[in-house]
Amino acid sequence: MIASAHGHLFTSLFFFGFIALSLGLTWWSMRRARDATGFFVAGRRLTGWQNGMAISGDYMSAASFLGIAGLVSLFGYDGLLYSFGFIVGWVVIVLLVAEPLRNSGKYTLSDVMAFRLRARPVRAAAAVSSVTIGLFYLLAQLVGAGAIASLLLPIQPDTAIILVGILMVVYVLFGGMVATTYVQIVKAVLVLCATIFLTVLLMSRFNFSVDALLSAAATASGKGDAFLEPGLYFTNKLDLVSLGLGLALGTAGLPHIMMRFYTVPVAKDARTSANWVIGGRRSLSCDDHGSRLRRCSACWPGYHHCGQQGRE
Amino acid sequence: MALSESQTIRGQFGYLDGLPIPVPLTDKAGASLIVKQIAGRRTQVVVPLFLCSFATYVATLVALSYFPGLVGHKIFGAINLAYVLALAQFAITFLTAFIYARWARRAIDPLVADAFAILGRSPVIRSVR
Repeated sequence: MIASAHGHLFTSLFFFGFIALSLGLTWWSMRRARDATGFFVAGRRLTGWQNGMAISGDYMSAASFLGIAGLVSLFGYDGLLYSFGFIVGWVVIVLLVAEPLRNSGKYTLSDVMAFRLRARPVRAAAAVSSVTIGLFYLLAQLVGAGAIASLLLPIQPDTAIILVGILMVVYVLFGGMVATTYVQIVKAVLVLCATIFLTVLLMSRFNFSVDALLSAAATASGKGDAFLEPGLYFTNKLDLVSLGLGLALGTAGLPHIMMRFYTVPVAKDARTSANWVIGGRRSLSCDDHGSRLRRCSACWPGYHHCGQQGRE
Repeated sequence: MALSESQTIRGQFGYLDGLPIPVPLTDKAGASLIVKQIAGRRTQVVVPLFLCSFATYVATLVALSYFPGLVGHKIFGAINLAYVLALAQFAITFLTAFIYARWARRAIDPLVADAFAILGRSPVIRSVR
């Protein structure tokens, strides 16, 4: 165990505080949504800003934070592809998907397709793909969330996964779209602030020089300059191109992101929310970059300059 | 805002490109003409914009995987071309979104407002709790 008992007390308090807040939001929104539109699409009354922050919150998930930081720490530059591949996906969404989706006036992607095509086969295909995507997506998220929760609280990872899963189901089942939206907004703000804080802390150790940071990271990785170049993770050249295309085009197929575009009153707000994601991600990603490297430095055993102190 | 029967709606940009003028745009048929106009304009701008930014992305991916010597070239200290390309993707995405949003605000939103006005509905339901 890394953290002391004192550390556990503090993180547990914070953790339970957040859970209490989000359950409070769930309870509050449970009393508001009375019909299908209220439950599934928050009455289509979210503003572009709210929806944009909620989507950002969806994105800054356990899997993307732990996953990308871990990949960067192990393979260097190649891990970054996940970071900028995802944001290119938003070009697809802003230009081609967001506004037409909102204009359809439906609840889900399969509603839209069923409206245009033959309903039964389309719905079956959409259901299968949603479940498949959701399963793989949730697996990664739950493993990540379980790992984090078991670090913060004195519980086993297995128990943590079950508890986190139950919490998720409660939010969505009782609070619907309104509750999940507000929970995600709170989360997005918290994560953004934490990331900026960590980045400033990290950069201050390197006199705010990205050059010095990268050099130190390359040296400590034991792989030298290769750490800062592509090729450590994607040993097959086509893999990088294929994953890059998958990230950029696949973003528009994530059911939990796409259904957020039905929650705003008009297409203009769908556009605004997508732009908020890009704006938020853009400012985040610069910091992200640093904080990911910070976390990688914390992972390297030989590199205690950041590592040891970061844990306290 | 209600419109008088004879009033012909004309957006800020005189939006009846490619349609016979004058068309009385005061009824449902008029509104659907405007909607067609919106769709046509969007395609004209969205497709080239998308192709440009996506082509840059694909070119970046190909450069990263097939030209390791090139992207490994150091530009400033330890910062090599690969990092600059990665940051450029963020910049390009932001720029694309910015250009599109600015264009849509000027060329699309007035038409949308007009279409809603014809149908006598308010487009904005902004009483968020």
